[in-house]
Amino acid sequence: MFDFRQDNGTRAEFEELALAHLDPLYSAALRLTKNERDAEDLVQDTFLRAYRFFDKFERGTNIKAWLFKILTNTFINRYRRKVKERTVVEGSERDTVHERFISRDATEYAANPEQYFFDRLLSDDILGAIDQLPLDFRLVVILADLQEFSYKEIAEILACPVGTVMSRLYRGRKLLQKMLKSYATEAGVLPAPEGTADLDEFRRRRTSSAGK
Amino acid sequence: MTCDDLEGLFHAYVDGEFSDDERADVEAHLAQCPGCRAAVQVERAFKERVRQSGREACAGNPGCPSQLRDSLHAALVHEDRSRRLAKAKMVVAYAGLAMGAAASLFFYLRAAQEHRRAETLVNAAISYHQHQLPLDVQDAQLPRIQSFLAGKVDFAPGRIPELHNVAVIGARLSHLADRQAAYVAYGTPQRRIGLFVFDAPDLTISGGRRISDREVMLANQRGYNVAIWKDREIAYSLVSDLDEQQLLELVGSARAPVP
Repeated sequence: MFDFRQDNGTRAEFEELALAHLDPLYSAALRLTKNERDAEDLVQDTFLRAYRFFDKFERGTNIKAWLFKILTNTFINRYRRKVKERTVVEGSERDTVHERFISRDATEYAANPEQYFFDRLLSDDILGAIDQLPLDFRLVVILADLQEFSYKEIAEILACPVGTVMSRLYRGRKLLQKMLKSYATEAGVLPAPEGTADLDEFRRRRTSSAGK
Repeated sequence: MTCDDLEGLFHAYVDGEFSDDERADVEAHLAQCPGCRAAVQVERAFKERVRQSGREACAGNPGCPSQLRDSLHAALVHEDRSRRLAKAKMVVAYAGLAMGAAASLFFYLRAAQEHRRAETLVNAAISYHQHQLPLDVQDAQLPRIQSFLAGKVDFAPGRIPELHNVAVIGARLSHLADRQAAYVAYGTPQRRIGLFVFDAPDLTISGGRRISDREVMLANQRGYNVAIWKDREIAYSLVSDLDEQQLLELVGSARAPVP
């Protein structure tokens, strides 16, 4: 407890292990906070906390997952005020089982080239859509798709069962696809789905062309 | 394996979460089911597209700004410094705490020791007084009693006092606890007031009353009131069945005659 000399050695070890993961942590922070200033604050908080609890880190285990756990906890604690967002997610998560019965993946994906509409979208659009996801879905999509963590690692990071990770990821990706599909439709990359002929839209177009 | 078994699990399959034999089962099904095969291909392509958009963002943005890297290092150094300071403060606090504890233990032990010593004196005085042992000298004149004691006690017999309105009746060489003392009797043979006089440079009287500039310790045991006080290295212990007030008046009147 009174040994002052160990600090420098510990700090060197921490910097060597932790700073190697600075870039992925920063880019995840950017996706979570949606702006650079907050992302920098979040990363700084994360590193200081990690350093303070470095003696609790089990040497030889996955330090990247450990750092991400601290990052997400720090973020969630700081933004806990947004309780509403979380409640909405909990509610929609409960619907997952029900939804499985009504949406049939296999028929939905019948060989249709338009299913690959996302290849024609800009990366910024995709990231922008991820940013719009409710927090719990955003976390799993960031961790699984952008950071390429396994379900087990994500379960550890978010302190929840693997089953929850799986269902959130399923829901999150579905939601993301739905959002991107409407982006694509708006951008004209994808034709408006059939059977949604809009009388109001027709009248608007008609009036504006009549005005010319 | 059927399409229903795979329902909702395409993601997990694409994410590589299936074990080798599970994967073999899935592949066998995919080989003969174009619907599921398409679903897997789309999910795989989608995942790859999302991943690619992340990589592109990283390429467009050189990652963590270098000034953040610098400020992180500075924050860690600062953390070390404040931790060191906190430790130093803790050392000081602990040292202070330890010293305080040692001091209070010392005072407690000393107080306890004084208390025990006083208790012993009180008990011994009462026991001795209770026995009403015969006096070695009986005389109503204090100077004669003093001269009897001269050379027999280890203090100046002149320090034996007169008490107001109570005559001396005699004296006896005695011991109080392990100290040599003179037991001087006042009052009447039927109702004695006993006064032990002994040399006690080491004895401290505390926690009592102040009667005419003397610190007086009072105790009440077995129906006797005992007053102990000191006057210039000589200790006095007055034992009687008088009440506290009367006893204190006697203490106040006790004056060794000026030689």
